[in-house]
Amino acid sequence: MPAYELDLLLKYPMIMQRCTTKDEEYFGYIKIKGDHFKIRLTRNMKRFKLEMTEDLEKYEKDIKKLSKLSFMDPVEYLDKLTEILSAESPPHKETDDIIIDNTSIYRKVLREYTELRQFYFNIHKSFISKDLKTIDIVQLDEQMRQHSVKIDVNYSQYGKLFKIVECNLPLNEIDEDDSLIVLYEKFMNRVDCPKLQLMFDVLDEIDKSCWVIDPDRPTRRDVYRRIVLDRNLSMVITFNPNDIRHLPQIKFLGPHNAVKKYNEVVSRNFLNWNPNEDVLSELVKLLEIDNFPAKPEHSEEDELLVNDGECCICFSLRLNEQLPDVVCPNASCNQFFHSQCLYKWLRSLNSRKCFYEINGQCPNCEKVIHCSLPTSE
Amino acid sequence: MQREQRLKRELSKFEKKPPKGIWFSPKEDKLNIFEASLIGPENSPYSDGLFKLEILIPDNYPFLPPSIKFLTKVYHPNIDDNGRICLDLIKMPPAGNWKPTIGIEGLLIAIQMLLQNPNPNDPLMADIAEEFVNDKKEFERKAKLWCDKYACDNV
Repeated sequence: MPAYELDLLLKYPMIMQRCTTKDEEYFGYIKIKGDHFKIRLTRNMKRFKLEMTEDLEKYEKDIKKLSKLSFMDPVEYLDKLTEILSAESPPHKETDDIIIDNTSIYRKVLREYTELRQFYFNIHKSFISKDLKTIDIVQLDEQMRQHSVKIDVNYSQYGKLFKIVECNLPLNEIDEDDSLIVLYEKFMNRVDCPKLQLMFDVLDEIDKSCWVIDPDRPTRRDVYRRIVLDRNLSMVITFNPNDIRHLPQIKFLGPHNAVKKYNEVVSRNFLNWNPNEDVLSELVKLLEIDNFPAKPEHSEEDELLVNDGECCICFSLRLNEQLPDVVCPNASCNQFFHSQCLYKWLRSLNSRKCFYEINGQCPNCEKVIHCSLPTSE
Repeated sequence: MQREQRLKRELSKFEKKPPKGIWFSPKEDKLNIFEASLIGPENSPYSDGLFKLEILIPDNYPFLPPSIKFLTKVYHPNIDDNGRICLDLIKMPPAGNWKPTIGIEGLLIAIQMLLQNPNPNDPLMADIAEEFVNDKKEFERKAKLWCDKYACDNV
């Protein structure tokens, strides 16, 4: 038994020797400051070659130098390697301390959360994520309106523990606190603030009695409404959440002369705006209209510009009684075209014609598309 | 023949679900001139303005892009004194990027975005572009001034 073998066993107990017909091999692990490195070492006389792994990549330069040196035995090589790896290895994080700290934070978060649920037993819905990083709460106000808030837990040891990251109120102020109950109370105070409650009342009234076309599904955060006034004429009305009773900002969208007329009406009447009256009836007076047109009864499906199966050049299904007959071969595009439409488009780009086909880019996905010459051309 | 079907479709889609702050409609019931308005995008110097535009639809639409110009004066690196707009989407390839899958609505949304994010690398008004790059505060001040002066004729 060579002298180094005992040494190897004592110093590097996780390294095994294996002899093949060709050469000697040493494989296993060495532990350096808590990190394990996988080792596969081949010996050829006095030269040793180490197989590179991902962990060893950053030491590659030094390891290459080693392969040029000669060593008496593998222990000598591994000593040298250990020297390299421990010199370069970043100081190992003392993970244990952090784990203890986090557990105490987890406990605190859970305790705060349970206390909140007990304290505010009338919370409509609440949810804490599995990783204890976010808390979602939905609360009802006196008018049974839902208000949601999303709170993040801050584990970074800097700043406050809880932070409101999202809430559906118009004034999205960032709030934070070490106590969940205090933070939640701040949120509720904002919800219950008379100014905001008044604004919700007004906006609810508008949503109920007017034909609102934008936002599509208003949330509590939206302070504007686009209301239909007439065929092809609408107005965008933007409220100031701090002062809903005063004249809101109004912009008309429609034929330019109709807009001009309405602007004149507004500039004639705006001085008569009475902040103590109902906002909606003041708007009716301001615009000199009888009432706002109501939303049409039949609620149609959201119309898309191009429905499935329709030609995405003429935006229709039938063109001279023909149905779309070309499909883009790109599977993630799959758009339909009438060959007439596609041909006309590709030709207008001077695309390459080849016998009875024209080649070019799909106008939707820009991948190659072919189109045979339409019969009607 | 594609033109009429398509414009009608674009209009009916628009009427049911208009994009935020955008309006367009044919002028005097003919389908070759459209008028349009857009509200300046939020968080831009144009946010209080209402901008009027005119759109000419060529006979070969949608195989040729419409021409669009601002009727309201705008202080912007890509919009000149006559309201012409420098935007690749309203030019025919290979110089531009018009595709028949883009509609009038899409172009107006693109113009709204251009107001929010000027492109000083392809300017129409070289001095405004230079100001936008070197002295953004002054650019924003002037843009807002013009917006208040020309694009805010309501109370």
